[in-house]
Amino acid sequence: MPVFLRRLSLGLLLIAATSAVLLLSDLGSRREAAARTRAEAGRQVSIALLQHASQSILDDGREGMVKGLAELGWEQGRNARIRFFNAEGDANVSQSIARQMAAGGHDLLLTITTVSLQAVANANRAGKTPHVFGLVSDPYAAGVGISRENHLDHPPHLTGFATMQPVDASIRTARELNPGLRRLGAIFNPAEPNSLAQMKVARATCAALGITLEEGNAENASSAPEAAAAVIARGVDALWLPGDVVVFVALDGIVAAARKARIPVFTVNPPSVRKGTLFDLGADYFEIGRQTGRLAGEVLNGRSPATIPVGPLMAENLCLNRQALAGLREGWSFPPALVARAQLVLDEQGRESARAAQPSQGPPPPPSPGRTYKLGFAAFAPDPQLDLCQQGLLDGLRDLGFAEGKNLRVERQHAQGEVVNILPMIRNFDSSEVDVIVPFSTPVLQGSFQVRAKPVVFTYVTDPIAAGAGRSFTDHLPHVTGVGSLTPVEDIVAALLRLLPSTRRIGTVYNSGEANSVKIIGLLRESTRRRGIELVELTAGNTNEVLQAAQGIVSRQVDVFYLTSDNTAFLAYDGIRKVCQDARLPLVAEDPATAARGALMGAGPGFYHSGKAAAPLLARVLGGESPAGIPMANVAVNEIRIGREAITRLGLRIDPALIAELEGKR
Amino acid sequence: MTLLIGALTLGLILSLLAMGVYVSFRIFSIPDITTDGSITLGAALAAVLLVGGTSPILATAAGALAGALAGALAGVIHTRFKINSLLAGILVMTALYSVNLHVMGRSNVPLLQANTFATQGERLGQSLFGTGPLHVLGWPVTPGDLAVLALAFLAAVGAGVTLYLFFRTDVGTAMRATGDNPQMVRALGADVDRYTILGLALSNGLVALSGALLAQYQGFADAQMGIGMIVWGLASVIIGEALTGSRSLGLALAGAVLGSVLFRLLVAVALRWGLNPNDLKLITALFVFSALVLPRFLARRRGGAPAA
Repeated sequence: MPVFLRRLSLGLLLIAATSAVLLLSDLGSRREAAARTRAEAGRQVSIALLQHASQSILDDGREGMVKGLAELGWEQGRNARIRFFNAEGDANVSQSIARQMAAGGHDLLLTITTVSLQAVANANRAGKTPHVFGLVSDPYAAGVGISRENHLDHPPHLTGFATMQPVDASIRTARELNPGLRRLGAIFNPAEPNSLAQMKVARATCAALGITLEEGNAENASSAPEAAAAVIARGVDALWLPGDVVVFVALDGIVAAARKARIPVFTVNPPSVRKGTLFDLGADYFEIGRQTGRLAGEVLNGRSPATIPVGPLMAENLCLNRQALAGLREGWSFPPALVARAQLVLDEQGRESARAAQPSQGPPPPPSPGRTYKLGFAAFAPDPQLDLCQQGLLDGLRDLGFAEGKNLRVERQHAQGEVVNILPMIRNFDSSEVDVIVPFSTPVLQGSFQVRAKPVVFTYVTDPIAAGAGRSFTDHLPHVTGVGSLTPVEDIVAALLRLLPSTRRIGTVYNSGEANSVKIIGLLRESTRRRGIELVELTAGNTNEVLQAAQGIVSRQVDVFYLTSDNTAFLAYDGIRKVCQDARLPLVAEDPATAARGALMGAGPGFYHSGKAAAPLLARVLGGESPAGIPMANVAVNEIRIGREAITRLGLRIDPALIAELEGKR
Repeated sequence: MTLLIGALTLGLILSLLAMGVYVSFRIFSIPDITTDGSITLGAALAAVLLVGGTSPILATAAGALAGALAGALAGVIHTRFKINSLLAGILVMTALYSVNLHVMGRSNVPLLQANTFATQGERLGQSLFGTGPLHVLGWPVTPGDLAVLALAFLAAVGAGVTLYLFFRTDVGTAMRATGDNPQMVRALGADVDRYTILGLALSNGLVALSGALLAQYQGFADAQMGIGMIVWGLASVIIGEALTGSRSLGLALAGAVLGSVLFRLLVAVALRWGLNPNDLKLITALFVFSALVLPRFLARRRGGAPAA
């Protein structure tokens, strides 16, 4: 026995050594896993939140922050104790609250508005507690040590978002509503740095548009209506209000003064329309708050604020008020394009009609600034259509703000064409630091069902239901969603018959070992049977057998060779094309690109589109949404391309109008 | 850690394949290509039965039995029809491709909702250790993963020990003798053909058992899953021999298990390092090469006799 063990020792030693190497390479995941489980490990955190005043936008921001924190696992009352402070607009109260917050054993400080940022940043100068801020227009001008030039240059315990009100856009929108706008009044508190920053922009915009800007100062809420009256007396066409805390406390008085003069008030703080303004173009403060809350959640989960740049964040929100339009002087109207863009429209009676946009169906959230997202692309084996699909996905993501090489890193793996390699590949991604696993092709998707820690968004899969991803597109595995690309066989056959109406026999070659091909052949059988067309099928187990099978088809007097998207047969595409050419047989292939490579018609889902269609789903998952709530989808844009060269070669006469129609019909 | 456990589990499951290949390749000196078909056959039959609600043990056993039948068929073709053993394997493997498609009714059977040895293992693990992740040296590990690994370990050790004991019985000894020296066995009046058929059946039974477990572990059976598996089985056997430096029965069987596990670990390391996926096979080949050369090199360094 000892001899037996000694003989095995080398093997066991090597296994132990390799395991150790594997574990060492995996150290990162251990730390990450530790950070990830922190929210669940029973840790209680204490968070202090300071808002400067009670206003609906600040309340929206606060609620958004609570929601964002909960999305990252920190729920008020469960594992997070959030203490809410409100300075009620008093700068002195703000200072004392800030000192209390900085002193008292909190894990994280959150602030809303510039004034609160300054107060808390000042009290917390020693950097004892991480501090995340939001709803601040210009943190670079707040004097808390954040550099405008280098957004990473800031106190190491402090980070947040800059949400500059869309001052320029709001004044330009006013001009759109009334091209006759010449004189504009503005009320602001010169003691608020954020108002000063906005006024600077307003002056520049007005100068550029040839508008005279009449400014009125309001040091406190009670003097604001007076200041408004004084500005109105100077004969302005409209009043514009920057995102100024003092002025907004007095909003009712300002609106009343303007109504008397029959001029509109507009702001950068939605939804002030409820208080009688004509329109508001500003930020969606709930969304801004939510993003800030998510950032705070990441900090609680172990991300260092020092590594997070203080970048801009904007989510636009436009509100219109038809009731306010009614009593105005001549010249004001709402262009339909603007109404279509609005999140909220009050009608003539003041009733609200919000745009029916459920949060889960809205546009995917933009990437959080300064964060690099990581994707794990898991494929079965390299192939040209796969490259197209991945390109489509990356292009789609870039349109949504995730650009590879900038804020997106993609790790690409494939299973070397061996099923047994799929699981290790998926497991590797599961324990690595990727944010989302993206499986391409059916067996890889099936391997991904075992993923535990990561969400999965798939594409390049013919039929996700048959693959077992779920019972329906909405009832699916909670960690998996994605895009199926069932080939629009019916459309392709219809197009084929318009091109070659005399077709009676169609021949095809496929690998019955491929689940996707079996599915497509089933559709093809059904489609041809209904039209009384005979389908001649031959199967090929591997690429080498394809040519022989193709020759067999040609010898059986078919009118058209139909090549499905079968992976095996497609690898022998050029051979099939030659066989068809020699027999003067039209070739139709389920890949639009083949029209340029000798096929009479190339048609199919265009996997580029399948990839691109998965991008919004992926962006939502990257934004923190659970795949469980995102329905799967079938995306099959039928792209048809006709090969001119094949038409000439085959001596066919086809009406150019028909070609144009088929190609135009996507 | 999941990656390590996954690689160990996969290595142990595929060690059954390696033992099967050891029986055909080393004991009977037949590189039996039936392997590529029978591993899929075991997976396909087990998967279909599991989806139909059969218990995992029965389904797995049925898969193994089907593989044994396929192996016996290859043996019959080789011995009774005097067809070269390599060709007999190719014939059966080719036929099995169609058979597998018929067994499954399609080319791919997902096992997501089915009750498999993996789901039972997970349930077992959870009843023993609870549902929360355990912490092993700081890595979170799910009890289910550990239980499945333990089951795979039991399967590999169980099969290895059974095989070892079997080859020491009279029939087993006669089978080994058949592989070593058929003329002598024939001269002794024993039926060489029968032993060969039995040997191939045993070999492919083990291979199909491995396939049945593999399908349950990865959660699906696929018509293409067997392609190239014989190669990795051979590689595991040979790595094992190089590591133990012996061809004696017990050591060779243990070596086959070690070789299979080591091989999957090496693949996992290559994956973990995030190397260019197109280079993965090259890296794997280099790893295997070093695993083969290392024992010789060590032996020479020690100044001892080179390994057998």
